[in-house]
Amino acid sequence: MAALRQRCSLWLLTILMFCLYWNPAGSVRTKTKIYIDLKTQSACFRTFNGTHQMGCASSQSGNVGIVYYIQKSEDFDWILNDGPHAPYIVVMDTKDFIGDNVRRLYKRSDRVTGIMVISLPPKNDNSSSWPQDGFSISDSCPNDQAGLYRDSKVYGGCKKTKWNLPGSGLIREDLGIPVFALSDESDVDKILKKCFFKFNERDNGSSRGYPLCAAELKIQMFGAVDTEVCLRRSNQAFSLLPGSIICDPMGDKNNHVTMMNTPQNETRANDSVIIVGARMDSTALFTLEYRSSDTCVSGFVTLLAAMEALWRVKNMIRNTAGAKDIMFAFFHGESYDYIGSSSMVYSMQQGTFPQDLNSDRDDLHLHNIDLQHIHQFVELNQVGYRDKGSLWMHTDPDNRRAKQAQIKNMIDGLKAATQGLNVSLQEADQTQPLPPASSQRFLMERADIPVVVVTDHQAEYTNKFYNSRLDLAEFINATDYPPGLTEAEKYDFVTTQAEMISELATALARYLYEASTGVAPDPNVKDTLTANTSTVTHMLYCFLVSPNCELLKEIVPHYNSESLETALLPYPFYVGIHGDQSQISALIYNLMARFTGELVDLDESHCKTDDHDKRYSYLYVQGNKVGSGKDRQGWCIKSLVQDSDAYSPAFQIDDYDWKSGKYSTWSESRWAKDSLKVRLFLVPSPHLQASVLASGIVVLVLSVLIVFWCNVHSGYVFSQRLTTSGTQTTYSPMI
Amino acid sequence: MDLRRVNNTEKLAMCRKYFFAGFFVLPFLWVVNSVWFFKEAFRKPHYTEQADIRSYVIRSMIGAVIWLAIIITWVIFYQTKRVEWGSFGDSLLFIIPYGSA
Repeated sequence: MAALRQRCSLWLLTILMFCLYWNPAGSVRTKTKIYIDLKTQSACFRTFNGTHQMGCASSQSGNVGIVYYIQKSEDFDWILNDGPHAPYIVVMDTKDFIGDNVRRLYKRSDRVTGIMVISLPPKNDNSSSWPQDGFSISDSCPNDQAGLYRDSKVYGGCKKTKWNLPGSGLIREDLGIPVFALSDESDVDKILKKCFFKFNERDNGSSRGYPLCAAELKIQMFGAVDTEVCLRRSNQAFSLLPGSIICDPMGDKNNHVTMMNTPQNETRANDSVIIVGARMDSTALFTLEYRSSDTCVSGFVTLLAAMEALWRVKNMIRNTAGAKDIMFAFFHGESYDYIGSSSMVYSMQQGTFPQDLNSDRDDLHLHNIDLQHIHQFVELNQVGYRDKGSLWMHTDPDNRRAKQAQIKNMIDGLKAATQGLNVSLQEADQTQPLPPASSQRFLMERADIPVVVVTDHQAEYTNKFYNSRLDLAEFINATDYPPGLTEAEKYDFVTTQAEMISELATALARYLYEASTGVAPDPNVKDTLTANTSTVTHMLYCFLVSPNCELLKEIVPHYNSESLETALLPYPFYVGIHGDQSQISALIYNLMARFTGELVDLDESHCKTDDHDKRYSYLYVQGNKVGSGKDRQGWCIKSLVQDSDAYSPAFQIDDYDWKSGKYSTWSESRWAKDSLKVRLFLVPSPHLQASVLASGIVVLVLSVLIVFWCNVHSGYVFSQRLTTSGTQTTYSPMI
Repeated sequence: MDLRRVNNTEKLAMCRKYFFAGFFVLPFLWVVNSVWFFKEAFRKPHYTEQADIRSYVIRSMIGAVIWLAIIITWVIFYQTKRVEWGSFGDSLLFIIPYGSA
């Protein structure tokens, strides 16, 4: 009897082992059988200013809801009122993702726990796939509270002109739920075909039964409340988690270059520097999704092209007695209450711009530029569109009254510079205030700098996608390639926008020449002062289509070339956090050096700032290709290009009053590296869930009873004698 | 320690020590005292030192209850007012709450 039992157990054991080792499905973890992970890493994140927290966040474990795809307007009612399976995770098309709809959803956080927006590039030129009235995350009066008109009864709050009509203001709202963009086709496929249409879509108006497809959206944010609280907690010394920073101030670098190399021991006359400025940044809601063709690229590319043209005649300007200095300035972080320009103005007031002379006075430095040195300020805003076929020059009414003659000169000069060119410049309504512009920060501190802002709208913005991920290159004809071009051919193809920008850059260069020297350029000089259409084309390609392009490869150090070659998307234009330099400002810096500097014969190790003459910066980059291989020549570029902190004075001033609104106080919350996650899974009915739980409990109770019974009757069950000697005669597993 | 192996005088000494030590902001000693000596004070048949032990146990209990009340009041007060207090509220924190006020 005992032998038979033993043999049976042996067989059972063998079969069990066999089952364990022979696994027909391969070794798959249960987790991967339950969940479908999505690739998307494009999430809206949390930001702060001095008074509020804004943006998106999920709970610590992620927000879960039943997936519902909004296809028609009735679906909103279904999600918000009638649907029986709340809470929902809403999937929506780009055309529906507008301020009002998003607000309707996130304000009902009891029924909507997350949003995903399908954000695929359009397959064909179908205008119905975009929001009809445009989309912008800025408000309708961008940066109003940080600008010149914040206290103005006449112009404040855009009383005269609402610049950004599609402005949703989402940038200043605390959505409180996670929001992701789906920009990968396979993600959209999974969520619609494998999840929504298969399990969740309504059948003739009535809800589907279980199982339903659910999604979990996870992006836990560390910071909370506002910048003040968040920085204070980051610096809290007495904590169990010391050094755990939970948010960082936004900021980056401004770039600028001057025509003259005036050292600090010479004099710089008042009203002797012409500033030409543009912004480098824009913003949008999602990480990785920052397209910005009109908002900033059109402006800074024009400025770079004008710079390249102007520096061809640098010696003529420098050798003209009494010629005014020209400074090209590129501001960063302007979308967030003018971080870059307010920072530059602040350092001008501190006397530390462009170089801090207090550190060592013996060496040669550039003479500082203060507000009183500024002669005039020409700013380029968005210039990608043409409102009524023209570009428009905006002025501030008070400024105009104070500096009537000079502003008239500027406007006439700019108009005259367009002669013979295919670009039209007109004056906007004189009673209208300035549109949002970096120069406002200069006027706030010195009201009598003559300022002209050149932009592509007469009144409200012509760009319906200002500060949004939809500010696409195709809308400004910067990618109107004929079909079938290779990437190399696209790189060299002169697009409509490239031509438009070249014309404007030419006009600007000619204007600046005359404004600086006081002499109209003769025909020869005019020819020289013509922007290079091919450079413009290349820049537009590199910033809007792909950074993997020859122009940028030439001007980056060799250790950065891999980043260019592997970039899948154009580099983001979001300012990011201070101390972590964005690609965009680094690339513009290098392009400026390329366009204004001279190549010097120094190898990489010697290509650095001179010990005594610190006016010049030295930059070592890859340079042009040599031969057919991968070898490059290596350039050491000596130039007057400088960068300066684009770091809001709010973070530099001790005991700054965060609620005062004087300076930008934006900061960005940190989040865990691996915390951005979206996954799909099936949810069975609550009945099924309950019965599984109940049967689990029954099995548990039964097994406890059986073990108890076995233990009590162990003498009967395990009758085999283990030992014959000693006191223990039966095998008892419990002893 | 096994109270069964200790004679009654030692029990009283111990109970007294615990009671007085509790005054050094150690309310948990009072809790321990009242639990540990509960049987000795109230359940055991009468012996000489029992009355003293009982009085220490009762006083420990009262002390513990008062402390408990104080702690509960403070916790409720702090938890409801922490956000309002701002910087001061944060400075009393050991672990910073992630993602919330």
